[in-house]
Amino acid sequence: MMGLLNILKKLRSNPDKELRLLLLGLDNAGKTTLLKQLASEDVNHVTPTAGFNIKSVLSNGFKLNVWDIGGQRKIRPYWRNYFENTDILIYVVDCSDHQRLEETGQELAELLEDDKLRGVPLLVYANKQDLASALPASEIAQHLGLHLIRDRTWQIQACVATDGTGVKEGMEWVCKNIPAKK
Amino acid sequence: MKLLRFHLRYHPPGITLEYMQKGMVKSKEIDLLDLNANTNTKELAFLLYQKEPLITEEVRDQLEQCLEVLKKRTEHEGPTGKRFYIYKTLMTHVLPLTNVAFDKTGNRCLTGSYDRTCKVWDVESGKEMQTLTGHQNVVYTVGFNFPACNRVLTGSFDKSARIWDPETAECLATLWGHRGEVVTCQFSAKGDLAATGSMDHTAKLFDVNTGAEIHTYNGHTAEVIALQFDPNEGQRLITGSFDGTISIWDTRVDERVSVLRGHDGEISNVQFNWDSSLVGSSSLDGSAKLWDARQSSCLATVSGHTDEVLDICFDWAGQRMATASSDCSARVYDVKSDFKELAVMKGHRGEVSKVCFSPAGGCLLTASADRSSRIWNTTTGNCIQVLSGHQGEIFSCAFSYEGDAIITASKDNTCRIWR
Repeated sequence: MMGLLNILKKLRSNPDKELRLLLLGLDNAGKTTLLKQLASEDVNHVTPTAGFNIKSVLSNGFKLNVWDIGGQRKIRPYWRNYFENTDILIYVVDCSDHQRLEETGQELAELLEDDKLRGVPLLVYANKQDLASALPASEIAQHLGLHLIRDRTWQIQACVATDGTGVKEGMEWVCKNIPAKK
Repeated sequence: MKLLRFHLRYHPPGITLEYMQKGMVKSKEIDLLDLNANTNTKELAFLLYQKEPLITEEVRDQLEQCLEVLKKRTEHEGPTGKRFYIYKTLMTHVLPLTNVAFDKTGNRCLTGSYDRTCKVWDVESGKEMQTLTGHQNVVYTVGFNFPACNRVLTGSFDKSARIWDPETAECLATLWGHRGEVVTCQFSAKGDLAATGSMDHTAKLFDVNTGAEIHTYNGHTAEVIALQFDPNEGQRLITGSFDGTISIWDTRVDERVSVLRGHDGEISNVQFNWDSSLVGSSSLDGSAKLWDARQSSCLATVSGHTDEVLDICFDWAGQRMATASSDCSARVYDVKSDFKELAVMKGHRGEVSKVCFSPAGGCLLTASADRSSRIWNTTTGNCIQVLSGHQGEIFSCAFSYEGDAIITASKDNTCRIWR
């Protein structure tokens, strides 16, 4: 089901075995491609997201409701619209985009400071590992200062969203690190 | 008592008698809900003359002329009626749209958006008249106070609702108290009350002038996602919930008047008909139900759809209801006699999430996930027109009161006006 009513359904505080995953990152990081890869859809025709996409995926006995939010600079201030009831935060980084490493680090730092995302486990996908210029996941972790995170569990996973390499491993971590429901 | 003049009411058809009694000007409304293209206006005028002491022999001709005008009005659209063309594309929202609404004249419309604003548009020029800024999260539901249309009510995911002056964009009151997103709201018919429904399982009633809460309606055990005041007195309120029930409330007390039970799944929408004698409900259980609003009893269950029913509405005269479904179809049912299925609208290639009648009742408008809106003949079920052009799924649609304009709002961040 789609439409506005579906958005309301997905807004409900999640029942057991149903999780809300929030997919964020700069524009062109590969969030929508990742979402489509998760949903086993064609990843060849992805256009910049001027809003959001929602897909539900079954994984390890869980229903994952994944919210992919556009990453363009002008719509980043609206990311907060989607924070409520988030179970897992997934942050996608384009590892070949050296020039914007600092920018993506700042955005992530702001997310981690937000009250509504307090304690929410973080998975970072170090995407585009197939490109020659891509930095390895360990260096990305360094740049983002992940080792300094004290208030939540986190994981970094190298991946190639376009062919699916590493995507499944990330999701397995997600399913193992589901926070206990309030 | 002396009759002063007749006033015509187009949708639903009716006349208002303005008369003088003991030096005071008073008025009396007569509903003519059965008026259609086949009505013999001479006979009807005679019938009214017999029943209504205010209507004298001298004014019978004049009455007949009025009825003739009303009759033309019901005929002026329909299968041979107007076609709609894209008139304006409104594109200044930076994120997807949610719900939309016209004012009474069709001169202005409202759009809610994920960009936390509600915009007021001039339909004629396509210009943005005002941006209502202040909500801290998605503006999900928007509406004018009918018929005055000098106030706007917005409900937001920031857990508040706000009342605005659409002329100045000033926020006149913020309605606080909900602990969850406000996803449905409406002004009462007199405009003095505002009701809100929330993901926090409650509905609330507010005083429009002071912004003070009057009641919290407790009773639902899940999200309240639809509500409506009765269109006449405005003293009753119905709410539909994801708990699968519909509740009826009274604006004068905060205890629940009654609960309509019977659906096996979440309620997707709930509506009163014109004279508030009937309540229609649609549910994700795949059925729609009709209820007697006074007796709180179920009159009929229609289960022609093969998947979730996502929306329901009555025509303006309250003679028929329409449903929209995930099964890609819309259906029209008779609600006056035998609840028979009158037409099935098939053709959309995605789920149909919204449905509404044209004011005169000749057409049905649907919004779909297939990125199109369609106009259908309500008698035959034939598709008259496909409104295509949106780049994303269409979330909401509406007819203007005059029936001469349509708005569609989409996930593609734009809103389109069709005329």
